[in-house]
Amino acid sequence: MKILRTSAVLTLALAPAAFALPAHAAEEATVSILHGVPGATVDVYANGDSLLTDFEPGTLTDPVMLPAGEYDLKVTAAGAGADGDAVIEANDVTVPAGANITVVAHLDASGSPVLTPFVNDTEALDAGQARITVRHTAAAPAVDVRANGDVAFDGLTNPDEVKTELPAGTISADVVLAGTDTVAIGPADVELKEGTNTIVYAWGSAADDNLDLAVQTVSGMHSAPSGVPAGGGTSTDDASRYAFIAGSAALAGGLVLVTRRRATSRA
Amino acid sequence: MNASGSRARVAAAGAAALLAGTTAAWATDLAGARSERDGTPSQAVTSPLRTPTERFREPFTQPAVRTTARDARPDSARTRALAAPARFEVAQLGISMPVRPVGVAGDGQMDLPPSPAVMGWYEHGARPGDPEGATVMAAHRDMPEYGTGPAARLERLDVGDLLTVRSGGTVRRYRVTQVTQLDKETLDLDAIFSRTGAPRLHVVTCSGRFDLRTRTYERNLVVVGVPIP
Repeated sequence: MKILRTSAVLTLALAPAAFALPAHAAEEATVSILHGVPGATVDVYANGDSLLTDFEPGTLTDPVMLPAGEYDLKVTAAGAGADGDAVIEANDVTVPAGANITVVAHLDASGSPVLTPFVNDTEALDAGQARITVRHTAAAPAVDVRANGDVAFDGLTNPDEVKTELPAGTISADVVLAGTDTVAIGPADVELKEGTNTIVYAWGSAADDNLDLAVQTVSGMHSAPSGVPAGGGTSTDDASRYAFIAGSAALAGGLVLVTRRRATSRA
Repeated sequence: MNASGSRARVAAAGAAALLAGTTAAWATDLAGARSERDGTPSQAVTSPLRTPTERFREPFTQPAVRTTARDARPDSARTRALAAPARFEVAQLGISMPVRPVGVAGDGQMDLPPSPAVMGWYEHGARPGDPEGATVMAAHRDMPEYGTGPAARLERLDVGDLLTVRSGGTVRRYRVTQVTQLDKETLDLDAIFSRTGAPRLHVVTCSGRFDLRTRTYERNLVVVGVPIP
């Protein structure tokens, strides 16, 4: 009994070590940057260090691993240098350890450039499922987002997001002014790959008639199916089983008949 | 002998028949249930892998660090995927099966073409020719109405044998590196359906004892093949 308990304690003690994440994974964050301010090619600085140059509207960076912490982010006109005038500035932006973040340079509802950090949902998905996130980062009023013609999300305002999970596949998405059929953006085919979070951004400016969509895909949330049921038996199995059942029944019935007949004739 | 005696006799015979039939049904069922609970004795003989999880474990890969930007408009996100697999062949076993893409069934398990004559390819995983991950194919070993299918012959494969997959106009050959039978309860499904690591082909069917009660086999046969350049 004591041995049993000791081994149980050992197992428990070892469990955290065996399943612990590598240290660097916990201390870093995955950061992507999306440029959603129409008309301006820019450079991006983090704590005074150049992070990205000649960043064009409608483009998205590949994810970068950054140490977790607080960042002073500054966006300048391309080539302005680290001390150049800020087009947009955001100080003390928290980048939490282990998080997957997209920092979006975009227009607020009234058309001023801002930086908004969004945390991307990387929770595991069931096999066959995909996640879609929609973010309103455009200088535009409240909108409804439609999937295949039906309203999927209604009344979304800048800079909010909505998300849901659905079976993987391709949807035709468009954005309409909230409560109307007036199409503001799209339609566009958006592929929702299994095991991914497909993030759709509405960006640009309604007043300047340059609203557009940007799509980011965060992958790696897939799960394996729960099994491979690759056999159903054969009808032969069934036939022999039922033959056995019928045979047993007939035999037993026959035995009783014979026994009782004998008993009757003796009586 | 009077009429009521005859009726009683028939009723008794009927009751005995019913009892025996029910017992036979129960006994055949129980055999299945038993094999599911403690179907381990033959395990050591047919399955050299005592710890399938370790054998299938993936190497830890660190994400690459890049800082380039690319177009994020919806139409630019579409990548041209490789052709889906269309035919699976094992020449030495006389197997040549059409392949259909399949996904996930309502119960969360891999969906399979209903006919054992057709191989299913898990469309959410790697395609043949993808630079990484397992291309997973599975076919029913057998089905009532159909009988035993070609996949039942896969257990005759040995390490070094050749598998062929045709996709579009491309023919890819794989060399078998593992043929394993694993209890479904200990099967490492994450490893079988892995999206990372070296490109490989996992062909899955059922094996072991058939449980008449649950109408499932107790094991999966997993054939691992690596692409021949």
